[in-house]
Amino acid sequence: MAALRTGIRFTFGAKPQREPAAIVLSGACTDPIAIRFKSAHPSKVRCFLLPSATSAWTMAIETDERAAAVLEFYLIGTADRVVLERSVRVSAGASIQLSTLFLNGGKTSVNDRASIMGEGGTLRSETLGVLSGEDSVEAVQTVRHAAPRSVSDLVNSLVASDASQIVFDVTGAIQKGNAGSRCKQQNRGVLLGEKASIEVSPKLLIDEYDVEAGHGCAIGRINADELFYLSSRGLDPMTAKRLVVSGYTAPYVQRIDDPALRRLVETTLLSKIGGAS
Amino acid sequence: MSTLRIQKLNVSVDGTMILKDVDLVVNGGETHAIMGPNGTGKSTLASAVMGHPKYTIESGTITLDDLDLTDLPVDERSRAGIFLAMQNPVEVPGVTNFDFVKTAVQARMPADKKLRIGKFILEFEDAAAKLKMGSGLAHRYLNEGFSGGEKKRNEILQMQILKPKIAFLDEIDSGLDVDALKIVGEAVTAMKSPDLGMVLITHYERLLDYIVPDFVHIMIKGRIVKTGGRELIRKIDSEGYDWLKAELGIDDFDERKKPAALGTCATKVAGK
Repeated sequence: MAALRTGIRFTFGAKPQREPAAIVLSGACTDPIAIRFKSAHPSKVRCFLLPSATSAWTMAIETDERAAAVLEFYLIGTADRVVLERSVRVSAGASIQLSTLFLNGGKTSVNDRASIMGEGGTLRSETLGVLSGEDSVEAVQTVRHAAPRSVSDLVNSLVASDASQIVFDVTGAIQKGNAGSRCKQQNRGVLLGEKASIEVSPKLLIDEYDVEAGHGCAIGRINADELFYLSSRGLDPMTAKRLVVSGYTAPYVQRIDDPALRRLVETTLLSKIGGAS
Repeated sequence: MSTLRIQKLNVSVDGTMILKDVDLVVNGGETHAIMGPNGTGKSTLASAVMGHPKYTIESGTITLDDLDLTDLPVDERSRAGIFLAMQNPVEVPGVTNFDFVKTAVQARMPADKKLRIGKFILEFEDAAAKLKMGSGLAHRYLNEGFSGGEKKRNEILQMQILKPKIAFLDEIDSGLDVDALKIVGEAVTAMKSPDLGMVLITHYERLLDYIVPDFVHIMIKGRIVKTGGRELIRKIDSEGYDWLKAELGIDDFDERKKPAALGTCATKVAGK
């Protein structure tokens, strides 16, 4: 991806961080946003996306060689339509850990394109989508391994209650000549509403022999035996369902070390699954 | 001391009668063993008492002291004091063992009381150590990746912490090696008290070497056909159930498995 010539630029990793940096983007933003991670120091950045009526963001995320970055996205609030386009470019020896929480309402469209361009580059991406009402998320995630011994690991955890709709199209591609690469996808989801739906299409496009690649997908409703087991220990049906859902959300929530942000996320999650039936 | 009273219980699954006129009284402090051949309804009894929605109570009653459990939902039966250690505990990914047991303890506390988390952690760790379950148990996901033996021990751990009044242990010996059976047997025996009545469901006598029952009931074809003491265990161990079937005139014909005609041969009758 060509470097951005205009737009908003953020650079991290040139100086040591005492605490995570925060980027807050509210409403619509027509300018592209560039986030660059340098290699001098590890970086941790929280990016809050607070959409209004119709919001669209375009982001280019790049790492220098051997940079180490953690980048968390929190989509919070309600809007008619949100469009998020992110391109990620990982250089040699660099590692980037992306975490994305879709806690927003309305219709959301996401297009993520990641390229691991340098040898030994690593991308880990974890996405949590918790939807209620008639909200929807349509996401396309593509990871391209364009260097030997590159690593990608995608985990999507999805919860749909009421009549919400989630569609994820996930593709991992290892190009010829990139031996020793590892490409993994894991998708799991739980349906809480009769009219809710989750559709995940995991794909692997592998053009090299000496690689490791795998994908898994498990979507379903809370089954009767699971509910019976939890109820047999005294949990009422709502508490049992919340506990099962916490199995999806807890790994994300537990990682948030800021107490105020953690409370906000917990409250938002509870409001979304609290009335799930 | 509590009393579980099962009277004239008839239970069906998908329209087929499994339990027929089952009567059973279990008092606190007593240990009952229900034995019988495979597929005879032993596990159905345990699941029906716990309230599994798959089993329909056609008639009869289940009461715990003065409380009629027959129409209560599963969670209310549990909070009333019924526990079922399951034959095949389900796996719940993402939910840690500790969070699950903590939530279960909180579910049976009055709304105005709060769990003392420090004390609870010590109790959990102590119970896990006694069952030789290892220190990482609390943070492992509920039954996920557990061996058969670990799952059974985890059931007993929950029973220790939830302190039920009446507990059904459904084939907790299956999947256990000799050492694990001894650990589980000793842990269960240590829980014996006037506050706990137990019903062990098994078709092997080896469990009963470690957990000695006061009463032994034999169930065949959905009925409790004989009740006695420990002498029944030895007799079953040496002679199986055939002597009892002969004594009671029970044949092995299963009325649920009626022979069906698959078709008729194209027989050519001579002369026609």
